[in-house]
Amino acid sequence: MSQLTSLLKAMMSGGLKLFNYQAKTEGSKRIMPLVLGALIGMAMLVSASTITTELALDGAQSAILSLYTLIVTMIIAMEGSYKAGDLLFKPRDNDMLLAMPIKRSTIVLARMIKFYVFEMVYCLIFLLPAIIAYAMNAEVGMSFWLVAATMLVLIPAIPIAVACIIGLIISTVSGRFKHKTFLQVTLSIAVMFATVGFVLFFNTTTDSDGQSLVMISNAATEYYYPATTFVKLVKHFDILEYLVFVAINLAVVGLTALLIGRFYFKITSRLGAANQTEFTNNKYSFAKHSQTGAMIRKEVTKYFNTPVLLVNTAMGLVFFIMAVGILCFKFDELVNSMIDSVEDFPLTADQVRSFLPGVIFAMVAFASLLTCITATMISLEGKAFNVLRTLPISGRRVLISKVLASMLLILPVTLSGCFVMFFRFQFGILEAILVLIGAIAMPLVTELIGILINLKYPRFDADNDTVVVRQSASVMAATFLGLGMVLFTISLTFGIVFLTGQIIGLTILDAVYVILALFLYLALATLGEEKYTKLVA
Amino acid sequence: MISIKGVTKKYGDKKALDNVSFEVKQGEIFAFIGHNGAGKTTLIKSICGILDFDEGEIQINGKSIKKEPLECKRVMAYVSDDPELYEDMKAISYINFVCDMYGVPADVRERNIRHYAEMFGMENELNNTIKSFSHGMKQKVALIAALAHEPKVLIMDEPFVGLDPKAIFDMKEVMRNIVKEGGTIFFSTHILDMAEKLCDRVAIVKKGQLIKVGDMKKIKGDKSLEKVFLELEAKQ
Repeated sequence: MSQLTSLLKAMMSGGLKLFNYQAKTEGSKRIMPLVLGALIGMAMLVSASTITTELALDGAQSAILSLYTLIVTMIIAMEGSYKAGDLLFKPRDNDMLLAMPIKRSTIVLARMIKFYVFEMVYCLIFLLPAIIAYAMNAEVGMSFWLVAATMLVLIPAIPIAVACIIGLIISTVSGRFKHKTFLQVTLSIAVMFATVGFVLFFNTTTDSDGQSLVMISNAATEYYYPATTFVKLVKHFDILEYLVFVAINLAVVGLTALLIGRFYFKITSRLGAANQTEFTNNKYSFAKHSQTGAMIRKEVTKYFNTPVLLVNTAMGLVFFIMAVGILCFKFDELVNSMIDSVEDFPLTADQVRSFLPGVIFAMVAFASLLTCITATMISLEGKAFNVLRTLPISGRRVLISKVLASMLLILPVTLSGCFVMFFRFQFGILEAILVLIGAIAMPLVTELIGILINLKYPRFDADNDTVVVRQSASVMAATFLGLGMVLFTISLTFGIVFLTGQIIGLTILDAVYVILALFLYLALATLGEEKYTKLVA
Repeated sequence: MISIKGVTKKYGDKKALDNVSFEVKQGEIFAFIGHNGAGKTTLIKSICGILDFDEGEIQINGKSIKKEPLECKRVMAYVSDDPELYEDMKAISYINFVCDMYGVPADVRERNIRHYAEMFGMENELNNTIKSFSHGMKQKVALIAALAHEPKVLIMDEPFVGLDPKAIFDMKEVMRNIVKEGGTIFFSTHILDMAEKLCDRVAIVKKGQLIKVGDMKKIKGDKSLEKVFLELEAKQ
């Protein structure tokens, strides 16, 4: 036990540092996390309260607890499954710990606990507001708060165990092949789509009878043990059932650690087998490139060699491609079913078709505003950032190269999708140009914001790339900002287009994004470069 | 030439460098020695433009690293004690990347890369990714990248750590050749025997302060550098 405690102390010493500031000297850095936390907390509380008030009308306010338990579980399982492999098997301290007289299951348990503590942030974001909303709409006693606090801590146990086992399977399978990275990315994306497919299937099944929220929460209460127990204990507290629940969750984590511990050494050895020389020849290319060109090549190489970043950022683009495909092949079917299923639908099929530029604009907004690659690009330099600092290249060029590299990765997908839609639905030239301007300006804004945030909150000392991509302040800030911008832009798109018409509406939106991009570029070229010159890895 | 005048660097209240001043002349190999945590890496990082300093001035060939950092970096190369390179890149891609930053023409880089790769026994290894290399091989890649653009000023922090005996021997030859052609070499080391035989001048630093600087022969006299160093450490 003391070994585990010491191990945890060592692992936690730097691993949970999100917003990297020192108490006295960097007070300004506290503002962003506080503002961000307050905004997210308020938004989630308002949303949970609204749903609970609706549910309370039918006396079903406890459904909010099972519903949010399910949401947290799905998020942790999905998000955790593609990072668990890297977090468990690829931290830098592997060699050091394996050389010490520590049980492998103890190492795994310590890594799982660290992973667990971080994932509890989702409980704070989603479950805590739901608990408060419930308490505001029901009479609660001391036992409720005991159960609620326990649930906040224990709800991640099962999804984390599932995520770790999926991580184990992905690492075991990919470790057996030469192209480990490719296989890891493919398997991770497959798992992600399987989870999304499950959620959609679940939603469709429950939606058919209407009252989807109550249906989902009923299903969760019926089939998912933690949700069932949560609602049961809130309604009628039973100490025995409470203790059994705690014991089962602790046992799940412990048993998972034991199981993974059995395979730990084999997997880390196989993953480390990449450390073998593969090519022995002296046929090299010595072609010269510009500084910007060389920087972009470096960034693209890094992107395609960082599976977790690839999976993380490809999600929006993959959904965009799927949406383009569905619209191209199933547009008429979709519109007809929409007109048939919604009573008094205000538009005809032709009118819906005339709104397509706005729809595509919104789709591009969704894909590009959710794909922020630059939020990790400075942190991913790691200690090699110092090498970059010694080279005769200006900070401005480095930062702009990173933005350009990201644009090079995003634009081919979004622009191709736009062109396919233009030809399929025969857009007018002006409408096409307006959509294209937005398709370039929106990712540019996202990537400029990402790099500025990463400059403010870089993390050079992470255990591995997964920590940078999934557990850094910069990425969290960029993700929540991106989500806010998606919601804002999509509602604005439909609002303005509906009010002012297609051309004027899209022109206004383009103007907003172009001006924003120019403003952010100026910030990057001045404040950004100044900040860059002060960074040390 | 490297000129360091009154450089002070503080971490909070602690002075990592305290009013350090000396010069490294053109055509000389200069050793910078001191105990762990004495401030060697801090000074080296300040010279290379990685780390900002609070007071003083550092000039490379007459140009200020604070005011004209890019001009200074164009004639300089830095090799760190811990070769943190871009692990996902092939070694040749990394070396080409560094050459691109310095604008090295294709023919010059081909000649230099092949020459140094052969010298360090890496001629058949450069198509592999850096993460597949041992510490010593990474250090060799860092050295090839640093030497490929023919720097006038070479700055190294413990450059011999992890190198095999032949690579150390070859590296010493390279260093002698660079200064023969008018270059300047400034490096930190804990291998005092090597510093004694290789270097023209030496500076000894302790707790951020320079305690001795001058010609190697004058400083050590009849004693070994190791003995002088230990005596100075004990005295101050």
